[in-house]
Amino acid sequence: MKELSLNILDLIENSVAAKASKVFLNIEESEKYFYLELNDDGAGMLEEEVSQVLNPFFSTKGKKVGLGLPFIKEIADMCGGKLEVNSIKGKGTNIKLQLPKGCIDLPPLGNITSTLVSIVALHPDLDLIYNHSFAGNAFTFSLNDFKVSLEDVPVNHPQVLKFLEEYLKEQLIKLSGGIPNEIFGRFKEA
Amino acid sequence: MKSLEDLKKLREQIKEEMKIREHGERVKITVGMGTTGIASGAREVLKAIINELEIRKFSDVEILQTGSIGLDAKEPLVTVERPGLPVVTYGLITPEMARRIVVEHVINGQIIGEWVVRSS
Repeated sequence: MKELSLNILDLIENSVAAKASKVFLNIEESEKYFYLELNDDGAGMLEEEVSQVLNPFFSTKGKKVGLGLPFIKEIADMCGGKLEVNSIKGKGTNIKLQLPKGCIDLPPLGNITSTLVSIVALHPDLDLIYNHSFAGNAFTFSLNDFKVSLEDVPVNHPQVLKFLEEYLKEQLIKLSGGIPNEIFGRFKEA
Repeated sequence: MKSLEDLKKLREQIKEEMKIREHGERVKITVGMGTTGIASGAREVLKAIINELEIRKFSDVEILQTGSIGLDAKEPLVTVERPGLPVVTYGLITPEMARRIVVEHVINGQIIGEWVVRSS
């Protein structure tokens, strides 16, 4: 994938496919590393399935291949990072990824707002919480709180999605103090 | 900066539009969002669809996603189900093509034959 934000979209689609109703996405950017954690309350996996999940020829979705996590593992291996997958059958899955800054093979984070808006457009009922920390400052977005402000207007109405995209972009620029050369290429579209 | 007040204003504006508009049957647009679809550009296609719907003020739609449907070489895939027309899947879709699908097929009911990879 050209951007980490596309891998994140793929991971959240996996969570939804595993019947998750809640997804918590945490991203931390610092001078030294990029850290990502994703937590869902989906179907989870058995211990033997977790041990297979990084095998590209394994999938819990009944298809022949499951490339999402192996792609991320490849980035982690190339960059000397760490990927950890923990899951409990019937409870959910937790994924932790840490990548060091300065790896030449590290893709930019890219358009994370587009990933979030895609998730809201396709899964308006998901209880999505997104936390993004940058150099000690943090921004949190709760889809359920956002929906409360909309009353009976659907959150996936095209005009609401446009508002949401602009709002998230503004918040992320504010998070990095308006500095364009922020650490992990958050606004780069490859 | 977008504020809560801006959101409330938008909410009231959409509510007014929903009151005065007659709603027809909804058009279903399905985008292939499996790993191959995402790697091939499905997110940008979805974004173009949403933007074009917003520009045209057309909201009688349901946007859905699907995983792999066995046409990976044709990703990104967009399927349109418009009442009264065959269900059509378009393949190798770019954001520009997606915008045309919204205008011609979703809104005006004209299937773009040369991009169709599956029809039922």
